[in-house]
Amino acid sequence: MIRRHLLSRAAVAFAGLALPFSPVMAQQPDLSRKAVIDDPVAPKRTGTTFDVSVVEFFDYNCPYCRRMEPVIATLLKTDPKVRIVYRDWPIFGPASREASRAAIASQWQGRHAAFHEALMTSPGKLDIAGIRTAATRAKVDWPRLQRDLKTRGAEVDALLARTDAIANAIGVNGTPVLIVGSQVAPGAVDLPTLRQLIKTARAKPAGS
Amino acid sequence: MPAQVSRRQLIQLGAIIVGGWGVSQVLRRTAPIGRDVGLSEAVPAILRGEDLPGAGPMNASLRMAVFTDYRCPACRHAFPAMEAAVQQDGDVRLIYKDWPIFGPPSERAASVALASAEQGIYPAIHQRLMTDNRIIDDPMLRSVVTDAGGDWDRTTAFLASHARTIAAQLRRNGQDAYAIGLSGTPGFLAGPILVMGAIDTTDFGRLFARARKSAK
Repeated sequence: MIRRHLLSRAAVAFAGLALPFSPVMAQQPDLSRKAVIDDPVAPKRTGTTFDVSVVEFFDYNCPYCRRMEPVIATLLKTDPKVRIVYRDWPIFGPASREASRAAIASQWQGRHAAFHEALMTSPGKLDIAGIRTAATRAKVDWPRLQRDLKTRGAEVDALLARTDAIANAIGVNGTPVLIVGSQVAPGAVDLPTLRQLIKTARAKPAGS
Repeated sequence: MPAQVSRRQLIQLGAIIVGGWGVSQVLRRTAPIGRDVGLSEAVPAILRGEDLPGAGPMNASLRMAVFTDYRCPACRHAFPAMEAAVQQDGDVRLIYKDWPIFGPPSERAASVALASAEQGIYPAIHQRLMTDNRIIDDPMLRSVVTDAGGDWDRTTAFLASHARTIAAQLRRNGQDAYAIGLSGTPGFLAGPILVMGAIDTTDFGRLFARARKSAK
């Protein structure tokens, strides 16, 4: 009896302590550089080794993101020690979101690079049919993709939520945005600019 | 069968705990506080704080940018300690970098605070929002602005006509935070020295001292 009494007292005391914090219950997103650059679920593209990461926030229906694509392709060909980290940030509506979900899930069958390219170069505005066509072009196993989305869809959605939280918190306003080291570069950039960003990132010790 | 603990063992255990605590205190007091991020080219602009509210002498010997969210428990915890340390020092210029990362109510509160700055009441609003325990919504914000001596209608009118500018200021703060490697709130950038998380008044004093030394 006494023990129970004490416990309920303790509960009241705890509630009293917790109460002043009630307006601040919201969750803080992880905005560390590691969370931005090394997300375990975000698709990545790299050679055997890399010494710098280029993080791209993009939408498959964003025209400027599509214009970035050849720049990034050339970069990958000419600078084998660059890693691209794809942070899908679908802000152009439901079809963009579906394209991103499909692209992210295609990494589990090793088709992300091809599918990403097919989506980025598909003619006109992407819709569900366009996603399907791009998948065929990229030799994506569609039934397997659907299965992966069914079993691991929550992982994909959690990644999209993390990306959205990060994008909002670090003041990203539209797509594309590139992050290279500590540098945030909004909008499409040309190859020389991108190379300069990489050079600066390489010149600095990690974390600065 | 509970094992018997002898009096001697108890004393030894006590000595180990007290000793460990003592060592941790010594380490804490002697390890340099914060991280030097002076290499980041974002630092000078952050410390200039153009177009952002500030407090304290304009020609202070030290400038400190504070990255905070009104709903962040650690920010609220650190706030009185920071105020006391800044007042004690008397020669620190504060630059307020609202960084709302706890969702829409945080964003709304930060926008209202920034939109009230032209009435000269930003520090008063900041102080109230950091210490007020009510849920943040418009009636609450209205009472905060009014209590701080502001005019709510003027605040909302300013917010409506300057929505883009204020949103851009908040985005800028987020980009600056990322640029110096802040992974959350609160962040205190005193000169080139960055401290993440809540600290007490003594540690603010140590931060000011290290920042002044590093800036030389």
